[in-house]
Amino acid sequence: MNKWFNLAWRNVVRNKRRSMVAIWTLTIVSMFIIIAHGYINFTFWGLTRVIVQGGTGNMQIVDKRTIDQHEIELLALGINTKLADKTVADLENMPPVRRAMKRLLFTGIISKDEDLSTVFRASGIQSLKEKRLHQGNSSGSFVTGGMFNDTDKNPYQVILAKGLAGKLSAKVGDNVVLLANTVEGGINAIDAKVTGTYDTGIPITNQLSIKVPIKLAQTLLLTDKVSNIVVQLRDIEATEVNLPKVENLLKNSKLTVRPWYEIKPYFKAVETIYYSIFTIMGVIIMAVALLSVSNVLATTVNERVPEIGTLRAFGIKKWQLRLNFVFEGLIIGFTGAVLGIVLGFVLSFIINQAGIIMPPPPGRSTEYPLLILPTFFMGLWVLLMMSILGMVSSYLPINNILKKPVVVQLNHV
Amino acid sequence: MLIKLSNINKIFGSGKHKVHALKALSLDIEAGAFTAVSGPSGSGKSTLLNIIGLLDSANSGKYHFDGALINADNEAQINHLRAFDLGFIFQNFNLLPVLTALENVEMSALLSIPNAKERKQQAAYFLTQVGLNDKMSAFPGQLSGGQQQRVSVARALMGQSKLILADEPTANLDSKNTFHLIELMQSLNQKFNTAFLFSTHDERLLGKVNTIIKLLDGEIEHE
Repeated sequence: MNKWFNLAWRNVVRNKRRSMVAIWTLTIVSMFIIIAHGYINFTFWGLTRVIVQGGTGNMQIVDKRTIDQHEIELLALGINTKLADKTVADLENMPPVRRAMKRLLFTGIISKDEDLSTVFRASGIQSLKEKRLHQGNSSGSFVTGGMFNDTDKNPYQVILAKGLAGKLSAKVGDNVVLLANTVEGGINAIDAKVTGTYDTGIPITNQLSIKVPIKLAQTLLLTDKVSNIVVQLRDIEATEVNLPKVENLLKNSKLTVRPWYEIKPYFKAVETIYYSIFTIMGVIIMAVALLSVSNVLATTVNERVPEIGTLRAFGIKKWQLRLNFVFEGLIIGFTGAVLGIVLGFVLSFIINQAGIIMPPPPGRSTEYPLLILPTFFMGLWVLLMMSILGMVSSYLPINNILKKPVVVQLNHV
Repeated sequence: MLIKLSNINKIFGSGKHKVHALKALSLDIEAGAFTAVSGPSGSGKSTLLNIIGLLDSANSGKYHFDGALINADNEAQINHLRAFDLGFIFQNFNLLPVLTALENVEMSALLSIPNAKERKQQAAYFLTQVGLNDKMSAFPGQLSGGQQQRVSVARALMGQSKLILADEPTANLDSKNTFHLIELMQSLNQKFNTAFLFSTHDERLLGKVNTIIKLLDGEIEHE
């Protein structure tokens, strides 16, 4: 085995320029795959954080009936305070859970002065926990002012999304009136002071969103219920691992849990589209690389047909010759992959350090820094695929030559 | 009897382009013989050597090597004979350019001498026998034509082959090297009792052999 590998190595080095063409082709292909996958990986990494830290959390707990009725804001199906508080306490006792927070979702009309009013979509929140949920995430960042403090005895405070604040010409310190239907069907109104304006990161929700202390929301709607409980894990990527544990906690209650990727199904759709594009691109690139490297290795094999005949004349078996050429392909594939992986990681590092800012994605209003996040797993995959590609590229031509009689191989010009 | 050919026919091509290279050819070669095949171009010399060397197969006829009937379809038998009993010296030397002289000689005995140390010792021994003990580490590109052909003689001797075939081994050598090579082959034939069968155009060499097979149009003219 060693002898064949040694012979293969010497033959790779024998025609340096040609071997370098094949190796360089695979280096470029490997580097491209590493960077393309690194970009896709970053996209999902970023999207996960935008969704989880942007307010959805890793999972949300709701009454089971809201799943069937697709109506999370129907307060008749809300969770009463006692059950909500117990569930929050139980969740926060679980080591993987960083925090759990109650929310009350509702809609209504907001007005400032007498002639300015518009509809809103509100979240009654626990401000300190929500603030921590958003930490390190640009969505929800304040444009003016800051978060209200709902531990105050005065719950009559509100923060407005920047578009809505603009529509109302509302500034920090202004008073607004919130009007909403109570759970009993009546109409109730409450005054609240604007403590800040924020950017949701999405133009359409910037026109509608407000946040109020949960106590204010319950007072306005005349209820002690909450719509859902948002769960944030210590490890943002650990949703799937911890989902069964939370399910187990809720198994005897009327509550159920939904992971963030079910709440925001577009994530899976985006993931499928991106990976489909990546796979198609990858297959095309690999096919081009296969043709290119096959061509180089076929030339190499064709030049050495009399050598193959000579070795056959000395009784060397066909499989030994195949092994020899497959080793050559392996050396070329492996070397190309290693160089491509190293270059891919280096280039990713340079791009990450360059601080390139990307324009807002469709449907969003915030720019984001471009990062390439190559993975060790993808490096291994590239190494394996390029090695296989190299071996296949050399196997095909040698197999073809070995079908010819030895005398034809010896007299090949 | 080392080689026994009976009614061997070899035809190349078909229809108008059919060439009858060997016509019902029969011959015997003793073990340890030093034999030359001569004849004009196209007489069938190379074809005969290729069939005896199991590099090509006949269309009909029987071939016995050392008493065993050769079956051209039996790849295992053919591989075994090539590896253990046959050696080749090629007109163009056919050395692997990436291997040293010693490694080239070793390579031919990969199967017949599985022990690497023993193989290396034997390769060094045969290179010494052909007068290249100081060129073992040289690559073919660093050797003259005569030296390369001597490496290929040493390579053919590896594994104590019973028969060494050489198709026009002196065609690419000058007169001095031609006679050196033939004398070398002759001395090795006597020393190791290995049979040599080579083809040549060179009438001057025919006086050096025990037996001459003269071919004309695929038939033996005179033995």
